[in-house]
Amino acid sequence: MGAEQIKWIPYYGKDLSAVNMSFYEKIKKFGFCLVLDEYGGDKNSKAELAVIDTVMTCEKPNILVICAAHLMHSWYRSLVSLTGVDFKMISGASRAITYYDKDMANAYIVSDKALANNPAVLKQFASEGAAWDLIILDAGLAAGGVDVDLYIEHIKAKTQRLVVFSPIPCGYQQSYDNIRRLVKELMADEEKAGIIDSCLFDKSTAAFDLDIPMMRYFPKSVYEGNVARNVVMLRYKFDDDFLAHSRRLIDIKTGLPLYRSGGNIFEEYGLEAKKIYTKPSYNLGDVNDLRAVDKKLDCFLAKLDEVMEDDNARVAIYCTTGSTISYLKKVIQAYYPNVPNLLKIDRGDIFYTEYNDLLYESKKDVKIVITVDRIGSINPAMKKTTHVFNYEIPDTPVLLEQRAARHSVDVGTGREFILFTDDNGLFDRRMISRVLFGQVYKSIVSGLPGRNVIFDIPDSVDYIVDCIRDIQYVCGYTGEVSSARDVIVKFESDYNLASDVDVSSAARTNEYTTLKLDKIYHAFGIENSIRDLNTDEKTLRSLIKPALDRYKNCLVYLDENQRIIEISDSELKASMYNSAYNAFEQGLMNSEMFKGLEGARNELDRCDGNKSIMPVRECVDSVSDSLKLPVLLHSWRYLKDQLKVDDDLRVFMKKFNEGVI
Amino acid sequence: MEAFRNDEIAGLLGDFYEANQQGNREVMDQALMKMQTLLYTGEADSKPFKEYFNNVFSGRMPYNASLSVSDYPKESIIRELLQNTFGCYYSEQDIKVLFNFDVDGQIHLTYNEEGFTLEQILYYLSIGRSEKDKNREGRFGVGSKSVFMNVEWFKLRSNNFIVRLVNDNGTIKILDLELTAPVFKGTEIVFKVSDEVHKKIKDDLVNVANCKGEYINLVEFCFAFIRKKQLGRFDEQSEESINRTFNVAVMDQGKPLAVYKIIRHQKSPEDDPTIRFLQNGKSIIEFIWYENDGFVYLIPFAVSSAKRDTLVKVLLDKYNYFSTYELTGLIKSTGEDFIKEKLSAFFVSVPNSYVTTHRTGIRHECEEEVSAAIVRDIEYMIDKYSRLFVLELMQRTNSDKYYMRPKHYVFEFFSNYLDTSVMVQNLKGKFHNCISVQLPGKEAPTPYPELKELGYFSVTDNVSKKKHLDGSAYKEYIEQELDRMAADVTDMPENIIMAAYNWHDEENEEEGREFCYRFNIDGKTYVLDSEKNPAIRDYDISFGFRSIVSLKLGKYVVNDAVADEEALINTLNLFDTMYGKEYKIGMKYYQFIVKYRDIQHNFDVARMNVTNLEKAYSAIVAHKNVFESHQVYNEVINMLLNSFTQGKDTMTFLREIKEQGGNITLQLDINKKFRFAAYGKQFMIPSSITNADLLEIIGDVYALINCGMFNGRVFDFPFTKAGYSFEKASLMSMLRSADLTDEKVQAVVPNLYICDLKIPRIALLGEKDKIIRIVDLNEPITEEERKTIVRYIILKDDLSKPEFAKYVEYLLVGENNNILAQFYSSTEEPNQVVLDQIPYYYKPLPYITGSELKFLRDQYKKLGDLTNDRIYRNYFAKDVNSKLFGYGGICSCCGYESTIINNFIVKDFEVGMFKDETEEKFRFSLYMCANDSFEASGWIIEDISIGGMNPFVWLEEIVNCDVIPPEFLLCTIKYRNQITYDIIGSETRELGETVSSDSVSEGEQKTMDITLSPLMAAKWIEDNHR
Repeated sequence: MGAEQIKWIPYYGKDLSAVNMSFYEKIKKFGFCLVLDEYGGDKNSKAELAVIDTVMTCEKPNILVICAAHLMHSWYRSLVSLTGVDFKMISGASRAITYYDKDMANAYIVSDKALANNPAVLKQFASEGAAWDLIILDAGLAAGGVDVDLYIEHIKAKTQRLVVFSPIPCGYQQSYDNIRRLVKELMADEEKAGIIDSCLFDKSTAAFDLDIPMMRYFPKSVYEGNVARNVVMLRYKFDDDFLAHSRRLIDIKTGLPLYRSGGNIFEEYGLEAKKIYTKPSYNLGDVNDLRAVDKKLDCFLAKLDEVMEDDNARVAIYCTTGSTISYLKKVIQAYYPNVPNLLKIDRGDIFYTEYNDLLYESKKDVKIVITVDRIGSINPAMKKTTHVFNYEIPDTPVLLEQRAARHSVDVGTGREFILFTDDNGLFDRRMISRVLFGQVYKSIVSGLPGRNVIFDIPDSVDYIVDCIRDIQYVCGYTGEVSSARDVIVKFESDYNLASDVDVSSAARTNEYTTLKLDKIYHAFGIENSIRDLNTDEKTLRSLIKPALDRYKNCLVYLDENQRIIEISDSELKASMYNSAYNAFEQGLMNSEMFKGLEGARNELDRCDGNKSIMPVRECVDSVSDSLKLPVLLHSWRYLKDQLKVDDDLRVFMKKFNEGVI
Repeated sequence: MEAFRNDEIAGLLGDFYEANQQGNREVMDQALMKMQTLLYTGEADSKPFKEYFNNVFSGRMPYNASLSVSDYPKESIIRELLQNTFGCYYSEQDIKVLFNFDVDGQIHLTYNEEGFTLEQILYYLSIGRSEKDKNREGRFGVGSKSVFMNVEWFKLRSNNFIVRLVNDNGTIKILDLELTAPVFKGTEIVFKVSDEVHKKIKDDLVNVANCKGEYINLVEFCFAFIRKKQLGRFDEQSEESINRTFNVAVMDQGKPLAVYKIIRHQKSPEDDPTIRFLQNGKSIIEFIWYENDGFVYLIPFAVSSAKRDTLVKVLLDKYNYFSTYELTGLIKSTGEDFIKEKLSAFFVSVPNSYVTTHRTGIRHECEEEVSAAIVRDIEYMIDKYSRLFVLELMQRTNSDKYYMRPKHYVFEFFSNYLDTSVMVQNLKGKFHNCISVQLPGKEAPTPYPELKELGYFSVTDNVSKKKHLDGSAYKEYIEQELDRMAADVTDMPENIIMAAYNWHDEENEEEGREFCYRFNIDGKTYVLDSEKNPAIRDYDISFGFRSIVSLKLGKYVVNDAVADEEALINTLNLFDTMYGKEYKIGMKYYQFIVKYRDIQHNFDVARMNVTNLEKAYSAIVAHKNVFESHQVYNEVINMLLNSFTQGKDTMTFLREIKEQGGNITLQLDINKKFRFAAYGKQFMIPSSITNADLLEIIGDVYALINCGMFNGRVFDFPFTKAGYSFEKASLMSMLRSADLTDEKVQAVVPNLYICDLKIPRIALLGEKDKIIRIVDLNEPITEEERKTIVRYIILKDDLSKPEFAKYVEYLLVGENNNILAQFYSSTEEPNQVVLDQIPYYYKPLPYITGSELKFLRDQYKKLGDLTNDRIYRNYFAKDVNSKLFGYGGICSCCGYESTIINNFIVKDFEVGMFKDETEEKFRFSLYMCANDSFEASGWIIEDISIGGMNPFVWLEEIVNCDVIPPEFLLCTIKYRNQITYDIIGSETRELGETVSSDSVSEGEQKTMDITLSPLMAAKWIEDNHR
């Protein structure tokens, strides 16, 4: 058995799709790659490839992963358990024991906060003139883009490879000079770094192209010319009388509603049934009582029932408030009392903290995950989700799209992205129409083509027209009446305005709404024709409907005039699902990695089941220290998967270590 | 013949002058006749006349009125002489005057009159003014005396008369007076002045069209001409002789220097005649003239282009000496260079009687009269010449903007005169109404009354110079203003909007005005923009424009009244927008009187129907400072309140106030009873009000609680039984308070309720749910109160059990010390470390370098100062690098795995081992789970070997290794458990009895193989080297 062959085994089990492999090619070719608009597992796959490649090619690799503090553990778990490379977290705490030795491999995960505090180990690293072999920058879900200055100021050392994950490389509407500077500052190879200058941050990024160090390839469905997500709307309605006789809970200090997410009637109104709602746990009777009151819950459970009939269904439920999370948790636990692995709350940091992934036990997936926004779990399990319920809706369309994108494409277009809407127009419908469509101009990025799930909402024209008409009213009213506090308060609460929006007076509100209208009009490219505040619904509809129809199945972006521009279906096919992509996919099997992995598998196939450790040990002894564990781990996984070896990893390692002695 | 009747002459002269003063023509004529007869008959000669006048001049006669030498400025001599010239009779159509400048300071003045009469010579020699002779008398001549006073000698020859006199140091002396000399056709005057004066007079006369002379000037010539345009006998009312010309030749010793001609010109019979001034045969300037009742007006009408530069200067000079006292400006009429030139004059000549003796202005007492006369005349002229008041709007070269220029000069004169005159006011309106504007694309000029219907203006005052200079003023007060106005006039197909601001700089007393017009005519917009260029003018055409306010006001004020608060707010906003905060609102009989500068708007507010009080109120409050007095302001507020509350019951209008965003508070009235207060007025609280209503109206629940309003009222919010249950026994055992009795628990716990008011307070209810008090956490509750409490309602319904327990604890023992809360919260202390390492048994064992071990030993030493045991032991769970692993959450003894790092302990051991035949203590530690850790307390350690070595050997070896192989971290410990068979506290044992050796036995020897973490190895080394 040869060490040369077996060292490829760490690629075993990786997602070696053409898109991921094109990333690998780019890293090989340019030394760096900007990965835009990827979330969760997709990001993870690419990071794995980059890390393993580094470990394989460097004797003592120095790897640095920088991410937001709350993502550190996610990154740690995914990288450690899926690659076997032992990353250390740099907490930045004064007492932390961190050790740097230039003769060793050094793999760190550091949060941007800790980075800014110049942790001793990184300082030492830079002062000894060491260079990184790989830096992975994860800008997370930041709408402001990559914080270039932070990285340049604190990293100090150069790197051989650079991977940047970012929703957008720079903030919305900003110059891309910053990201160019970052690449040039960090990359050790100036020649390679210079290539960034020729990169255009425009619609060409959506095309499949191995010749630029940038990726914005969209999920598989994109290449099949079908970008629309399967958005399912669930309707519910509260009895008008019921609402009229219920007291809406108002924040005594601000006069605004206490609860503004539009998804939980108990938080929004003072109801009799709240005594059930506030119980520490429910029984089935309680749930039925709650269902009778909360029409949304009723509608939700009806759908959930339908979903749960399928054993393969995996459900993610998005909430924005803690009280709704615990409400649904109590409901679901009472409603499906005897289902094993039923429910988990994903708060990002405590989800999958155990090392079961390392053991590669096919940990039983929970059926339902209640999760929240902005936690950005780097979590492969997310890919299996078949139904995404948006029980509460976020304040911005960006987050809604991230919910859709975070689950990757494993289930493809079959995944249902479920939104609720109410015929009362007060809850979910308000959120969709006023809050999401009210910021439609923020839903996509200028220049870089993308997609936002709000364009896939059936009958979205209704929501937009509704929203425009409403803002027109507010705008007109505040333009004429200076003392319009009631209207302003309603506007403020309906649109979930951030506290930094100044609507303190009618004039300001008028100013703000005028601007808002302008932006919406602009986005749809209809600014000149309907400036009149009293455009009737029919006219609006006739202007907006065609625009929305155009965006169907298209990637969209904002042009320099802030208009939404679509890249059509055919254009998509021509530019992305192109011959280059086909040729690349075809040629993958002949690539070095595929051949290497094939060779490694052949070597392992020759092992004799439970005695397999001996030949493996011989090979592993001759690979570099930092590659030992990845090779052992993935060999074990392969043996266990393919050759049904009984040993668990602990026993396997014990045998290995005893052999050492 | 001897003149024997010379004695009578003095008497006759006296009669003549007296009659002259009294205006008694008959007596005058008689006296004249007598004198003439006496002279021609030779009964009297010239001598008594000479003596008489010499006496007059030397002050010996009463007719020497009030004049003295200084009253006769020398500059007036030419004017006086000319005055006399025109006081004469001419039989010829053209008046010809010849000035010949001779050597030796002599000036000859000859003119072609008929010759003096005796009467005239008498006047001439006296101070000579005839009140009756207004028609003939020019402005000239306060008297010939002024001439006499300013020459060295003077000789006059005319008809039969010859006069020669000298100026003897201020006293005039007649040397010769011949009243019966041979006839001389015409009049010749010769006088001598100093060389200096001689030269100056000559210069002035030659350069009359180039500069304003001190002795004579162009305008005076013209006035003189107008005065003398009539021909005819003295004291006859003759018709104008329209063809008369006035000619002045200037010669130097017989050599001609200049010839001036002034004529009346009329293009065609329909046209108004003008006065033309010709120099050497060429017309150089033309005036419009108008006269009425002794007032004469000259308005420059056309200027020869060749002479324009100099003439403009001439006209610009000050002219108040010659009774011509008002000046205004002129601009050149063509081209864009109009920007550079500016002024000409507007000349008014008033009758002599209104002029001060010094000829420097209007007599004070006549000012009003003169002013009225001028106004009257100008009004007439404005009408008469309105066809000339045309402004043209022309495109500027190299710019798409426009400028405005008058089509005729006269416009300028009128406009400037009206602007600057102190005598004439309030004629601007009249003038403006006669203007017409030639707009681009229009065939005929648009008359101003039509134009102003289209016009709206907005003017901002008191703009700082800084804002003016940096352009922000332009942006704010002009651009934005215009855009706003444009929006207001969109429904007018044609309109003119104008915005302007006046800036001033107090320091330098600079000021200026910037403006911009937009003429929106025929779908096109023509912009007239001052662009900080003072030469671009608008001729004040916005004068009669309406303030944009009045246009908009019509939307809100209908039938002189505002209908509701919306209309009122809109109206006030309108004033704000248009007038800034400079207007004032007064009120009379519930009528608003809004004053801004000269503008006043009145409208009725009493009939207003207030539906949204808050809106109306906040609008009024926002305008507090524009009300004339606080009283008016208060009155308005009261009026709003009354209008709003009329016919509604208290709860209805309070609710409405609340809904509209109004603020209702509680106030104590004079009887110390609570009342609702809103907008400064108090309202009684209805006795039937519910708590929910009260809360709804007041809003601030804390205010209600704090003022005790709730106390004694029935708690009528919905409340439910608290969901959490508490066992009496555990409460008793945990709280351990002396006064916590069963009864107390029984009284509190079953009576706990919650209500969703979201306030962290507790309502204590007595019988019939009456509120005793609403208390905050830890507020004392007396035993007295406790007895009456029936229910405890926690006004917050979303409490978790630990949070809820705080309230329970407080209610039971009087204060919350978080004993219950802690008990019901799940964790004692959070994990302080999150694992970030792969457990050691999942990894290949590494080789460790000496430097790495040294690093760890140093690290361990640093841990020594950690006093917090938890943090200390957690260090051993931590890894520091990919090779230098720690234990993580795995017990090194039993392999127990947990993510809860607090479950683990670093346990220290000490065991006696042989080192070189002597026993020595070997210290070591193990990282183990809590269970094992407890168990290990009873271990009897029999042997320990590390890497197959005696520990002391290991200690020596390991510190000297450069590379430490994995086996150096493998450790085998042999030990026995001690097993206790008896359970403490079992029935057969007494409490507190110690375990005796009888009950303990040793277990079998066990072998434990552990892998040291490098950090633990470092600890072992350090602990033994201590």
